[in-house]
Parts: sequence; structure tokens; C-alpha cells
Amino acid sequence: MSHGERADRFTADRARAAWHDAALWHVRERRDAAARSVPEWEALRDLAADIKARTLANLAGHLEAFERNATSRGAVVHWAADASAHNRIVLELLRARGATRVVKSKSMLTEECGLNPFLERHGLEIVDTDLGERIVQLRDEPPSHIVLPAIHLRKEEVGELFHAHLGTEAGLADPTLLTAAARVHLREKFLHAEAGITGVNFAIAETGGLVICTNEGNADLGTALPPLHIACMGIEKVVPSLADLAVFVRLLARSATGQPITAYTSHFHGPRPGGELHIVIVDNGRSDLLGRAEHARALACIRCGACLNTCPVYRRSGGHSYEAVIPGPIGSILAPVRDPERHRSLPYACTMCGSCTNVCPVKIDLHDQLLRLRTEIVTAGHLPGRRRASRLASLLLRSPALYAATGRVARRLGRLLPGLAKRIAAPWTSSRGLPDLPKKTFREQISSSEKDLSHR
Amino acid sequence: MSDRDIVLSRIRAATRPVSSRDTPSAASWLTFDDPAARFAEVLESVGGRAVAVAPAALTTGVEQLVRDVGADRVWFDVAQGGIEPPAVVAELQLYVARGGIAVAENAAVWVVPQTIRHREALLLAEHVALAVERRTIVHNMHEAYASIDAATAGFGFFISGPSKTADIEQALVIGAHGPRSLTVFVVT
Amino acid sequence: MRDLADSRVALFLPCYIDQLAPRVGFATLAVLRGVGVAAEFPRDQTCCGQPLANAGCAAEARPLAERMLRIFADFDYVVCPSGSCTAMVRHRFADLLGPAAAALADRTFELCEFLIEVAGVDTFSGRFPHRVGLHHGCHGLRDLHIGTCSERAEPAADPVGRLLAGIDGLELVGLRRVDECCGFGGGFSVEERGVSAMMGRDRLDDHRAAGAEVIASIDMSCLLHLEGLARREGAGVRLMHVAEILAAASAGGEG
Repeated sequence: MSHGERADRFTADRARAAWHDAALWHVRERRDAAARSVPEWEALRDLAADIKARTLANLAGHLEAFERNATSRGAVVHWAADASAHNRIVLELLRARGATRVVKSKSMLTEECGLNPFLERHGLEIVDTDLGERIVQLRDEPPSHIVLPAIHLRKEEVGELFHAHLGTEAGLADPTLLTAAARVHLREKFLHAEAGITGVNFAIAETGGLVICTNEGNADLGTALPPLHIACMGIEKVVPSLADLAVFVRLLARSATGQPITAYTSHFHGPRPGGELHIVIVDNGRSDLLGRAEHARALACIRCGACLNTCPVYRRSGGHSYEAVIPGPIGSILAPVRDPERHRSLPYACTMCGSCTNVCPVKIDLHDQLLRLRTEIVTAGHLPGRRRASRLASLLLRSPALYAATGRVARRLGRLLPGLAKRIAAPWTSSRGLPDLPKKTFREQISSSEKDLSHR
Repeated sequence: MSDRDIVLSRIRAATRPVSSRDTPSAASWLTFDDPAARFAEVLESVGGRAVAVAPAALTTGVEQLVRDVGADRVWFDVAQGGIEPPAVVAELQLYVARGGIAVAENAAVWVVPQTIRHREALLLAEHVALAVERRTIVHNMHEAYASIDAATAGFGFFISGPSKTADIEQALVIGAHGPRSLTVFVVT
Repeated sequence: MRDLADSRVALFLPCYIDQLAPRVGFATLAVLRGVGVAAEFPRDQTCCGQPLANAGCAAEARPLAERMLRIFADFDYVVCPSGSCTAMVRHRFADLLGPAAAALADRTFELCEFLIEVAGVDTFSGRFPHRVGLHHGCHGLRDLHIGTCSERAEPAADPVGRLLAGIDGLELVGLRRVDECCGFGGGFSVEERGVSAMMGRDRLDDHRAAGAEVIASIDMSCLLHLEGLARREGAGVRLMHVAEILAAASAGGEG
């Protein structure tokens, strides 16, 4: 099934799709206002893009420096070539300490690696502590947005879920009360957790530190209470210095939700007193992306979600329609680069409006990459029908005579073979009326004498 | 080969030198005529509250806050005579701590908890108050990172307003996991 | 206003305008005549290849781009009543043809761009007594930078709106989402038909709520999509290319 077919199911519920669109448009408006509150905003984006480009140009060096400095501060650094190595490292760390109750704060990387189901299969309890993540975890579905994981759900659905799982009153759908119920439920999980797993927003090469940004405080609680903190990061999370970090901290929350900064921006340099800090650095295909000249810039992504919020297609099709770990414009690059055949429809889930490229805080050339990906997918032979149709069109359009003749035939077809014409036009006319066809084309009306326009 | 060697060698093989491009010139960063006023304004916009107090009035201010939130389990380690931490931090109603620098552009206060107990209290207390000195308010995050020593702190965080979530229908709810209110005493 | 009497100017007419809305081609010629430009219509032109390139069929689009270079080689300026097709020539041809594309790219202008930047038109005289909603086509806005898009933290600029606002009697209405995509997107309109139709209906609703009698755009492709949706719903709003409004205004107010 293509993205378009899955999206059609989402838009079929007009009220929900309209609500989803409006909710995310509101987030984009808040982003716009936050960006305008910083006079140097566009220069800041240039700077962030430049820092990322230079960091990626010496990524191995920065990672080695990070490892050295993190280790000297008492953290233990692990390396994972792929998702299964990552999951194995985490499991072994937990098992060695007899930890069975684990709290986790939001991490798209562990989502990508399938860590939750893996640990559950091995008999561990793993609880997502971000409210949105907890909601989708209880529903046994993936997040539909990288910053707002449960944005596809209405409050009544959350109410039903909490009634079933947390014992809230039937029919309760007030977000404040539901959040309060989750707070009680999750606080109990925090207080009894034996280990905390977190993602990483930024890793600082020069200091060996980690930075994690949350609004709820869940990463902080999840690492302050249990003695073991496991931080999982992709290789692209490293930034050279604290001075560089300032640029990204200014951009991240403003781009994501329009906040000037997240409520908590936590800096971990070494383990907490009496505790342990393990850092798992994961490749899982990222080095392949780095090697793809046309797409390497996608590695600069800081996962703010701004491209999702501004995307008119994402807003109206919902995150699950992408069937990828990360939805929206950035996900429509990351997934097909990895598996072009499976995700071949994602680069086409785009009108080429270009708004994503303009909001990206690190200036990834998102819509240009999506266009290039289409060519790569067609060239690789994943859309043979489209290729055949294009070959024919190209031949026709190379000859003015054939082009004109085809136009004439097409406009007569409606008269001569209305049934066939109707079938051909169906994808257009499923929701639109046909235009009144003019009797003659421009070229038929204009005189052959190019400057003489008297025949109009 | 270890995963470490595999990953690093893959990265090295994939890396291209950065194309020669001009480093964008450092822009002049956002500053404010009255950083303390901006700090208070932004803090309010993120759900917090700034209270300007003279040094001598800090204790009175805290006492007022204790009454306002109706707290009877309070721990404050900012002023002389602060009481000892309670045995069960999770039952704290109000925790008053000393902040480091504060940032005008985003109402963030740099806080370095002295012990793990302090760190827990900042997250588990129903209400948190921080005391910062007005003269330490910087304009923006560039100045902030230049003036703190994040690396030697071990753990430190910028706190901007109370904990919050909008994960259910984008409805803002203050007090997600952490404190339900954040008051910052700006000491003149 | 600049004198362009000695310049050779070509009309690059998008294929869908040729086939489906020839009146826009004539309006373009009339507008150009109004600023002293007698544009020629090279008859060998067919299509710039954008539909193929956007479908991912670069190899099939390339020969069409090469034809364009040959057909328009001898002109000082190439003027096109479409932001989207102009953006194809100016930005995407380089992907297909490399540096050779620059020669045509530098001489190709969207109609309003040409009027403002080349012909030096500040205001357009005439009368068009209607409330108009301006739909910004994405490629004109974000690829050609004809105006500032709403997500950029930059001073707002809207040259097409300014051009229209100068017309006597024309009232530009304010939209809630000033530059949201209409959802046409070429092949997107049929491959993602649910989203495409919803995007288009949302645009129509925004314009109608603002009281627009006419929806105007520099891109006919957006308008054909919106017109198809409006027609299906029986919505009473007229869709006009900016060239048609300019031509109608000069001609005395009705088009």
C-alpha cells in the first residue's frame, strides 16, 4: 500500500484530519512567532548548518574525542554497529545488575532499534515516561510524531485508554486530569525503577558531556532516582563544543514547539554520585547515509519536528501513514535511503511546496532531497509503470506535431468515447470537476506569424 | 573487529572533506535593554513567576510563598537557617534552592544541585522556587554557556518554568512529572 | 518603466495553459503589450518537462529541457505566466543539464517578476472592482522568492500583491494562512488524492471566509485544481490568473 492510499484512510475521517491539521498548524504558528522573536534567526540557522557540516566532515575525530572525555569523567562508552548490537548491550547492562524495572525517556533511536519489544521479550518491564510515549506504548502502537507522539489521538481516546489501564473514571477526558493520573502512575514507576534509559539530544566532544532536553522532567527523574543511567545516541549527535551547543539549544525548542527553551535542559558530565553512566553510540545505517553525497546532510537533523508541523501533507495524513520510524519530510528521506523499494512512495508524499526546507533549523535541503530520491527510486527500477508512461510522454512532447495531435485526440475523446475518457480522468474527477475545455488551444488560435496577434 | 572499530572505520570511509564554504560570520546576538524585565516577561510566558526582592526581603518572600502554596513540608537551602532535607524528598511540597546565572532570552536558570538529594528535590517537590541574583542575568545562551562551567559541574540543568506537557490534544498542562509551579526570586 | 522595444522577448507558455486555458496566454501577451513588449511565441515549444522531472523521470525530462535551451536560445528575455514552470527552468534545469542551463535560467522570468524587475513597472493602472484573494503558488514564492514566505523570519514582501493592490477598485482580502500549498503538486493530485483534495478545499474555504469573489494566482496549475474542486462543490468563486486580472483591469474593469 502506498502512502497515498494510507493517507486516504486518514482523510476519510474529515473531522479528525481537520483537527490534526489545525493542531499542528498551531504549533507551526508558534514556531514562526518564536523564530521572529530572534532577530538573528536566519543567521543562526546558517551557523547551525555550518557547524553540522564541519562536524560531519570530521565525525570520527569528534566521536573519539567525545569517548575520551566522557570516559575520563567516569562514563563507560559502548559502540554498536547496528540495532541488534545496541539492544544486546543494553540488555547485558541491565541483566548484569539484576535490573528488571526500567524507565525510559523519549528516544527515537530506541524506537528505531525496537528496544522496547526486545527487552519485553527478555522479561523486563520497560516504561516510557514521556506522557505521549506512554500513551502510545499502552496502545501498543508507534509514535505518530517525533516530538508529539500521541498527536493523532483525541482526548476521549486517551480517556478510554487510561480508564482501561490506569483505572481512571469512565468518560474522563479532561487533559489536566488525565495528565494528573499519568503523573501518579508514572511517579510510582520512577520511584521503583532500577535503571533509567534516555536518548541524547547533544553530545559534546570537548567535554564528554551529554545534553537532554525535556519539558516534563522525565529524563531528569529517570536518571536521578535509579543508580544506572544508560544513554543511547546515534553517531550524529555529537557537537564539537559548548559554544556550538548554545546555537542548537537556541534553535531546538523554538523550532519544535515555539518555546524559547525546553523546561529542562540537562547536562550530564559523568555518572551521578554513587551511580553509573553508560553511553551507547549507535551507527545502524548512519555511516551509510554519511557516505551518500546527495543525502548526507539529512544526518544533521536534530529531531525538532518542525518539518512535520509545517508539512501540509503530514498535517493531513497523520504520522502512521508513513509507516516509518520517523514520519514527515525528514522521515521520507531517511526511510527510503535505507530501503528504497519498501518506502518508494514516501518521496511522493510531497507537493514540493518547500516549506520544510525553510523551517529546518539546520537547513537540510529537504524538498530538493525528496526530488532527487524520486529520481533514484525510478532509476533503480522500483516504479516501472511510471517509467514507461514517462518514456511515452517524453517522446510525444519532443515533437510539436505529436504534442498538438495528442491534445486534439484527447479533447475529442470525451465526445467520441465518453466511457473511456471517464475512466482515464477518474483519478482527477474523484473529487474535482473537469474544466470547460476550450475549443482551440493557444497555438491553434495564434497566427503563424509570430508577432501578428490579429487572429486571436 | 570490535563494533567500535567497525563504526569508526565506516565513518572514516564515508567522510568527505567539507566543501570549501565561508563560515557564516557570527551574528550579533540578541540583547535587551532591561534583561531582568525580559527574564520576568519570558518566565511568565512559560508558566513561571518572577519576584523581585531586596536581599533582606528574601526570607519574607519565601515565607509568603510558603503561605501561598499552603505548604507544610518545606525545604530551603538558600538562606541562613534553612532546614535539613526531609527524609522522604518525594513528599516535599516546596523546595527553595539557589540558582546560578539566569538567561533573559528564555527565562532559563542554571542550577547545579549540590547532591543527588537536591537534584531529586528539584524534580519531585510539588513547587520549586529558585533564587538568582539580578546582576547575573545574561542576555542569551551564547553568554550563558560562556559564563558557566557546565563540564566540571557533573550535573547541571537549565530550568525554564515548571514542568509541563501538551501531549494530550496539545492542551498545555503545567506539572507533568516535576513541579507544578516555579517561582524565581530575583534578588536585587 | 524601461524601454524594451529593442529586446527580443519570447512567451514561454506552459503546456496546460496552451491546452486548457489559452485565454491566459492571450492575457499575458496583452499585459506585455501594455508595457511596450511585443512577445513572440516560438511554436516549437511543448512542455518544459517538469511533470516528468517531478515524477522522478529525470532521464525522460532531460531531452525536453535540452529542447527548451535550443528553442529560446535567440531571445533576450523569456517570459512565462507560471512561477512553477519558471522555477523549473531556473533551478531544476541545472540538475538535468548542468552549467549549460545557466544561459536560459538567467533570461527566464515569471510574468510578474518580468514586469517588476525587468520592465520596471511599479503600479498597474486600470480598474477591477472586486475583492480578490491572492493564492501564492509555492514555487513562485519559495523557489523564485517572489515575495517572502510566512515561515521565514524576514520582513514581509509581496510584490504580486502590491501590483494587484495598485489597481483601482481591487481589494485584496486577508487570508488566515497566507501561503499554504493548495495541494496540486502535479502527480501528487492523483496519487495522493485525499490529501490533495483536502488541501484544496481548505484553501477555498480560507478564501471564501475572507470574502474573496476572485481567487488569483500567478500559477494556473494551482487554479485548475482549485477550480475543479470548486466546481464539484458548486462554490461560487471565480479563479483568475493574475495576467487575466491585469489585462481585464487595463481593458476597463471586467474580464
